[in-house]
Amino acid sequence: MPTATAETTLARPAAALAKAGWTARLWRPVPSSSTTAFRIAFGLLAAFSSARLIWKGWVGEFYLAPTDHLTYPRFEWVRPLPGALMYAHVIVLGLLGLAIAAGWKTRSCAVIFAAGFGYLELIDAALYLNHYWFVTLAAVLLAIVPQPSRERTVPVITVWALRIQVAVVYVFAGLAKLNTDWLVHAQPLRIWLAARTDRPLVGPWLDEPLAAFAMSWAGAAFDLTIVAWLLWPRTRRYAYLAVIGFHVATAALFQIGLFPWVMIALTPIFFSPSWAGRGEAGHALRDRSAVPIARKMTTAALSVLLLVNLGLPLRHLVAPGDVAVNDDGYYLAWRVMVTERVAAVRFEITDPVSGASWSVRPEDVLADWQVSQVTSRPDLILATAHIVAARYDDPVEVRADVWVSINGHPRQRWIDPTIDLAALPRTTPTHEYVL
Amino acid sequence: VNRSRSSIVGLLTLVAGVSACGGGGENRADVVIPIVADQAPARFDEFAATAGELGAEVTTWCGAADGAGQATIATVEQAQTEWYALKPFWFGPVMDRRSQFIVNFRTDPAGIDELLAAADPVDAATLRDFVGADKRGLEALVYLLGAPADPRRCDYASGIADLVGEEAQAVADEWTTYGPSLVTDEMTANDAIRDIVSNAVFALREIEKDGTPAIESGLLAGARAAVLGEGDATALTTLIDDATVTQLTSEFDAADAASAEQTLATTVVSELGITLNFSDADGDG
Repeated sequence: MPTATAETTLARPAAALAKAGWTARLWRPVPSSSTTAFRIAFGLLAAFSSARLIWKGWVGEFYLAPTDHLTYPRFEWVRPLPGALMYAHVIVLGLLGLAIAAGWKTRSCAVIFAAGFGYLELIDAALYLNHYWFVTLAAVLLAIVPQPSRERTVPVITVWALRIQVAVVYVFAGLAKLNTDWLVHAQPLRIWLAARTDRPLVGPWLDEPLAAFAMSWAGAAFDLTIVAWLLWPRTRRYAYLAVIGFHVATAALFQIGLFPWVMIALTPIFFSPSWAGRGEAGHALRDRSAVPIARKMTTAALSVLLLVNLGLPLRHLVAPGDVAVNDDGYYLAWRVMVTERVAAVRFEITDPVSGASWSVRPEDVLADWQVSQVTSRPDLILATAHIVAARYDDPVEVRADVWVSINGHPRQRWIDPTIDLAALPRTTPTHEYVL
Repeated sequence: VNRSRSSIVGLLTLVAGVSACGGGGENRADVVIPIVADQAPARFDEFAATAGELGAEVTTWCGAADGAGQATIATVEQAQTEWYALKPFWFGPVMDRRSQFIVNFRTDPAGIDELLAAADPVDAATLRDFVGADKRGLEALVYLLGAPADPRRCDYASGIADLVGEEAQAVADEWTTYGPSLVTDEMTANDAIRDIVSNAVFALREIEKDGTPAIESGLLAGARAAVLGEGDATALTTLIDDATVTQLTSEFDAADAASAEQTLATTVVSELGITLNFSDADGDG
């Protein structure tokens, strides 16, 4: 009986594997403890996140209180559930997280969780966060990948699928930092750090340009290379310490919620598949992955997911204009904290019949937390224009007088003031109305 | 063990030493403390002095037999200008006391006429506790002064003048202790900067609305003073890029409130790393 060591097969000797095809290699069994640790960490974070939504009062504030929601194009029909049902929905998500952590019907729970969490995110685009998308993708993955067998093994494809999912976040976040503002002007970190001189110990140095440059370059280097350091067994341990240091530092400096803790908790998937020991609990009772048809379906599903993971972050390359200005390709693309935009937004309303005109500001129709997002994302300006237009019984024209400062640059006009935004379909690409 | 302990102590000492030396950038607390501890209380005192004269002015108007109180109206408008020039500092005591609903509010002329016609008390205490904001304050006083004095009108105007005078003095007194205690470190300095800039932006936006020249000049001057300073007084300029200061100065010189508001709400807010009207929601995007 071979010994279970890091990423070595449990069932067949290495020599036999070398002769096997790539499919066989993807499905060779490895210890399942790292996968189980990933699943437990994910489930507990999902449960914690749901509890946090409730105890912070965010279910009421973000989903129930607003008169209007900034919906996503084509998803205008997604509305919050009434009152208690919305709370029930969040509670169920938390329970599903606990079930996933416990390994109880993991795949079914992950499917339902992904759908329920996705619904929550679709309600209001002002709530979009990159790490929510990561949570959704991770849940989908847990629903796809084979769960541990009775022998407490998983196909190595399970481990690599989870690793790739984590790697995608770092690599694309790093690629997004390869721009002039980040590398040459140390923006937007220069702005953000200068406003954080109140932090203990390092605070007095944060308004130094050198600190911003050092952190910009270090951040880009970290994101672009950390996956390699984590994959190399000789540097893995130190790389994980760097992961902890990096995310704790960002948590201390910026208001980024659970993102740092999600990455710290799930990055150990890069360790040996047996790193968490052999005594893990909660493995699945049945392993369907041994069935050939299930293998084909799983491989196909993972391939689709891989294409989604690679395609979405790169789509801005084929979109007209600069994504940093028009956000065409911003969503679902891991452009994490690379752009600081501050806009002054005012809508000019015109009654086409009487010719009368007047002004409306986003804060006149939206909650403060929605306004703070509207002033930094052009698609939400279009969404707000439609909300404003809907407030009137008769059709009105809505034009936007919007100025923006991007990464500390002098303000510039952002939205074409001649376009009647109320007449534009919600699906209009941003480059058609962003200057 | 001893060597490790020495290394840790040495490292911590080094970090503490480096931190104590501080960065070379402008300390935000040093910039904001003179504004909130000295300049703002002094300006609230000035406003209290002007508001304190209103009672005597109204009494003079009541004793005159020549109709409308144009001279008194000039003093009221001066008070309005000073009050709205303080709008960047309408936080702390002003918010706590809800002074903006006592000192000046958009009037309801019909309601004022109704109260004039009634026999209800119109002294300062009654106006504070039992009368709506649209029937008291400086704008209501201007309305009352627009017609010849009679005993009832005089009583009403005196009540408003006394109320505004009391409120202005109370706010000034509170700012005398609130201002110096407001900023103690960089965190409170950032909070104060956010409040000042936010209120300056709101002041400039208010100019878009239908306001009197007295109010508009106060709003514009107040926003300018808060951000660019006035006379020898420094303001937030040391924290803002020189080119932005130049741009803002030219916009204020041209009395272009819309442009100044856009620059303040975008470039200045961005340079200061602050956020207007920000909630406590997470963010990573």
